[in-house]
Amino acid sequence: MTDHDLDRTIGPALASRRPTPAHDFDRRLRLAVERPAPVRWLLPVGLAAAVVALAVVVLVIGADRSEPTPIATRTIERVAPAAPVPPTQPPPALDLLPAYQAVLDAPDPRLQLDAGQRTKLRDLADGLAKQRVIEQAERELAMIELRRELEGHADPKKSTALLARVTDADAKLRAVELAARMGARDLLTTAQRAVVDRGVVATVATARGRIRITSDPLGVATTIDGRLVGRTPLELELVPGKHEIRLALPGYKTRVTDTDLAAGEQVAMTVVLEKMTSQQPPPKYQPPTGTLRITAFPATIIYVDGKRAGDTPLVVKLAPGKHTVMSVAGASSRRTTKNVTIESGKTMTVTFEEDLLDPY
Amino acid sequence: MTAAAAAVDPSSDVAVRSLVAQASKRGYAIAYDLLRDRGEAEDAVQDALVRVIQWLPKLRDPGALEAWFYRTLANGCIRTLRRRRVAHAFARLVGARGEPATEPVGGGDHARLLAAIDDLPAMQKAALVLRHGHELSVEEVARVLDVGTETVKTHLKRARTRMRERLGVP
Repeated sequence: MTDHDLDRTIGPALASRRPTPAHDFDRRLRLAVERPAPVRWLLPVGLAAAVVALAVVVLVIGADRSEPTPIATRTIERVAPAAPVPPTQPPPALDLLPAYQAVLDAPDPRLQLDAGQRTKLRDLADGLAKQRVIEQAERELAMIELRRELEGHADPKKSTALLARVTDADAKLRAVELAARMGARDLLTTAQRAVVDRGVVATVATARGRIRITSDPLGVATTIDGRLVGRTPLELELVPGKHEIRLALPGYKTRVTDTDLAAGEQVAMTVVLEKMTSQQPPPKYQPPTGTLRITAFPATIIYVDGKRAGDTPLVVKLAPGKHTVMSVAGASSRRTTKNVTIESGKTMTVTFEEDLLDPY
Repeated sequence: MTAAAAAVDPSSDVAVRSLVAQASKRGYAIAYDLLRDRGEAEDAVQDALVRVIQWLPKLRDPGALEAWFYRTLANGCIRTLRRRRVAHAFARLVGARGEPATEPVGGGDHARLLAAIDDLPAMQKAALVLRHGHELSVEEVARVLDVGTETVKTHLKRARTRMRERLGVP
């Protein structure tokens, strides 16, 4: 097919699928461009009308006032398609230590990870988790701005730049994950690596187990390892290992059960809750918490474990354990990250101070 | 463009009526071929028309009225196409199933050709549609898109190459 042949087919193809406009389209356009009469014709008529109107006003107090005809009227306002509410997090990362443990701990005790390897793998996983928090925060910020942009009359250049920020954050995360995996592999002995090479692909694919929880009655608040995951019936994926599952419903005795989930395993459980007698008021479950006080000068936006917690000064209740606190300065967008360890019932203080003389 | 527009006085209602008549037929056809959505095409024509009419008293060259309208219309359509592309990329990124970009084209050769045209970047699509869908000369396309004639030729060449790849035509 020559260029000429191709060009000749375009016109008929376009015309063949072109619907006629709406039947009132002409009228709509005429209304849109409707203008008042030219001034030179309007002036004498307007003056005469004004005199008559004045006379009427004098005679009849409270005469109606009419609005002038608008020069142009937009009849339909179309807006950019509303962005769907998206899941703002990329897919969950592979936790390095359980993944290798699942492969190496099973077949042969001589191949198991030693203490040093475990520590280094844990360090790698921690580093990966921190980077993940930073990239997720960056991604979330860009997503918020992008969603706001798309809900209004989006500027294509700005939207494209924001989209690039989101995909950059994902790409950085993938690169960091790859580096962490390669680092983890370097820690292994040749024999361990041989086992991993045979089994890790399958492990990665089925690294998580699946658990289905139903209860009688249904709609029971369920926590797994202290984290509220929803109400029954539930079906979710968990990393292999032991998990504590707690089901609590006012008026019923709380049930706590442990499960040991293997990689790729599917477990279904039905928990029957026993109704309390009226003498026994339901105990309120209060998870242990510590307090974190965050201050900053100048004031910043604070993200705790990747989620926006608010603006400084800030006091937040957190579960005991390690947490990552990130401060995002409003003017410079500078990000500073600190790690804190929260102890139950205690108050920690974190302070972020921006060096105002630093040009960043 | 035609010489008819040059003959009319833009300050008169005759010019406006003539422009409305043009807009409702040829303007709509161009807007629809670019956007492939009837509602959006109608809105684009109305937007361009209102914009041009509002600035009509300041127009120095009466002959430029029609060209000005088509340039405004093409710019509006290109902006919509680019915004749509970003919105779809966003929807893909978050895994949401967005609305189809254009109205369904059905089956057959025309459908494949139209799908290939829809796949083109905004400027290439505009150049191709104006040049071969509406029989404008390269110079007229250049005036509407506010670019040089060589740029129009480049857009047309790239559009053809891309369409051939998409259609599997050597």
